[in-house]
Amino acid sequence: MNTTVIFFLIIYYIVVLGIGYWALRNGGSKDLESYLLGGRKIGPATTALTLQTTSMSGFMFLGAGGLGYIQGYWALWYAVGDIGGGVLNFSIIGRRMRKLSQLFGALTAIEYLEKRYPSGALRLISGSLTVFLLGFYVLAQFIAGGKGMALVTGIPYPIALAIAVTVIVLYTFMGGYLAVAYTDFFQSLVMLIGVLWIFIAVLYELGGFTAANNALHTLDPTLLSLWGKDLGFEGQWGVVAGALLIFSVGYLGWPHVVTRHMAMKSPSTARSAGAWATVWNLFFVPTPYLIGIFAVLILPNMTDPEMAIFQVANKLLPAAATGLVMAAIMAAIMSTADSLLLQTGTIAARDLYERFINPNASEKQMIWVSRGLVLAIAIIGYFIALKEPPSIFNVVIFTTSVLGSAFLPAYVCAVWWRKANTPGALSSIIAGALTAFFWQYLEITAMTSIAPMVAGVVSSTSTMILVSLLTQSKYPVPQNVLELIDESSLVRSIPSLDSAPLKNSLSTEALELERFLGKKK
Amino acid sequence: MSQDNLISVIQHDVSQVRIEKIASNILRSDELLKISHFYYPYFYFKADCKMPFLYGRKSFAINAMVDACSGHAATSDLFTTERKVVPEGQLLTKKITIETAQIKAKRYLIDHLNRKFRTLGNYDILLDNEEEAYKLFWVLEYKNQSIMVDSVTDEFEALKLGKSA
Repeated sequence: MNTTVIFFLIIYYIVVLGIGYWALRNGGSKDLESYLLGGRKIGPATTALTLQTTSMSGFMFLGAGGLGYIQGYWALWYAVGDIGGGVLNFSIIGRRMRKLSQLFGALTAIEYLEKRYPSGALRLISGSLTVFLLGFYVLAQFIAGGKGMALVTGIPYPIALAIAVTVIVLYTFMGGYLAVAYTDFFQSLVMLIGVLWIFIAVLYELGGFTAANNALHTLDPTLLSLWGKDLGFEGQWGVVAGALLIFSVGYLGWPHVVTRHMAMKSPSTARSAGAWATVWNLFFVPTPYLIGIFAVLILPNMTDPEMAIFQVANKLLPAAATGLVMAAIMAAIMSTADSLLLQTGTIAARDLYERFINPNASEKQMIWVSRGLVLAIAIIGYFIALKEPPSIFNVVIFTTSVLGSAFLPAYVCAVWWRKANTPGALSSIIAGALTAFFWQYLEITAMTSIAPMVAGVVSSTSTMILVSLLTQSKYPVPQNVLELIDESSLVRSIPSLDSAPLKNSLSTEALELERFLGKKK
Repeated sequence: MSQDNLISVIQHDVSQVRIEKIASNILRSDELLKISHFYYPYFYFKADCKMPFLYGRKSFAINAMVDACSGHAATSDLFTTERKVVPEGQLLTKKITIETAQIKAKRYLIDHLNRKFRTLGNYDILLDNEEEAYKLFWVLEYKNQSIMVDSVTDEFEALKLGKSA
């Protein structure tokens, strides 16, 4: 058992739990809006980095490394899309969604959809689909955490998994979104330092970038090609488009990621957040892929390519550095898992429990229901993760493809297309989810060379346009929704108008009127 | 016994129908029990201000309003009023006098101008044309929540009246 690595991990866990406790003391669980959206007061740097770390996940240290190890430079197609993802996300929906969600008084990404496309069915379907997919996604993070920690520390897999899950649940429990956002910020820095450290060690070991590329050429020239090992993807532009899309525009459809927009301090935060995200992405995103690509030179006979980054770190770095790197890897996993857990609990509590089961639930009740669900999902996830389902890469690609395909047009059109109506959105979500699911289940990619994400997004987008136009006269977008969409497109401060019923602070007139009416009674 | 009063009411465009429509979009699942309206008192002043500017003094006019219940002051747009007879039960009682309102308006305007021009200027403020004006507020009482609606701006605010309200 590696005690130095364990020591570093303990320090890391103490820090994240400390942030969770700080968030609790600073009103992270004060009321529902604080617990679910951090009181909508998150600044640009934290917003950018929580969005990026949430969307990156353990995939970056396991899936990305594994992909680079197997396919060589072809894997960088994913990185290219990913680098631009943050700025695209903030530019396309950031400011408008922040404004519109507050005007609607929406606290979750699914509630926002229902307010924009008024329909109980839409909320039920979207909520159920999201809970199922995010639950599945959490599972991938648990497996990544357990596998990685067990390998590097020597702790048995079930215990390593239990420790990781317990820490995540504890700080999510304590401070809600505020804890998640600030731990994500801290974790983003740890991730960046960790991954750059391994990369520098790899380049040092191989004698620099050029020497490493020459060695790759000697080993297998096709690893340097943009068409994958043995040119397996040659001419398959559909697959390439999928790789580019999934982590660039794909983000726009992930409810656990778009929630970040709703929690921003103000709509104008989106602009600076976009810049922060791009800078961080430029340094972080390509690195795990490159480590994976070069790992084939350092460890040519690996049986599990997804462990490439762990194994390289273990081999090249001293124990203390491995501890820090391990903390970085755990950071990537935990920063996604906490957001997924919180979102799954939130959506299940607010969008399903409160909306359809107990509409009179109080704010405190709602927080506890959400916490209970977080715990339940964590326990179920833990036991399923013990069974080690399919590879992390497959699980992540599956869930993100289905989520992105289902929700991308719904979120983008919500703020950009006034004619997008309820039947359009509902059918688009269903069409996108089903297309992406069956595309993968029936392995249609192998026949068509078109990635599930591409098929899913094309299907959901065309359905949205077609159905919205065909049903426009029978189901027009309600006038008040149109007014708020117009308001959200304007660059000016948010009027207090429709969000007022959710506010706790009363204006002086309201206070006086309350007193007056109280006396009358 | 209820008595009628002749008051000046700030003219408003927001109809009851419009208010019900907007409110129903927010509290869609709630049942509307009752709609009532009340008149809220303000003191309204036109102020002539003089501030130091280069070697002279610059003059300008500004309007201020003081909440006659809480004493809070604010700048205000121009508005027109209409005379109306309303029952006493719909009028909120004034809690401050015109003299107090003048002091509060003056103090507020000095702060406001200091903030606006980023100066610590020595302003001369002359308040004139004091007027009492009432603004109409709608109160919509739903089964689970009550809200008040400003008849001029159609802004909403939640009221904590309890379930019986």
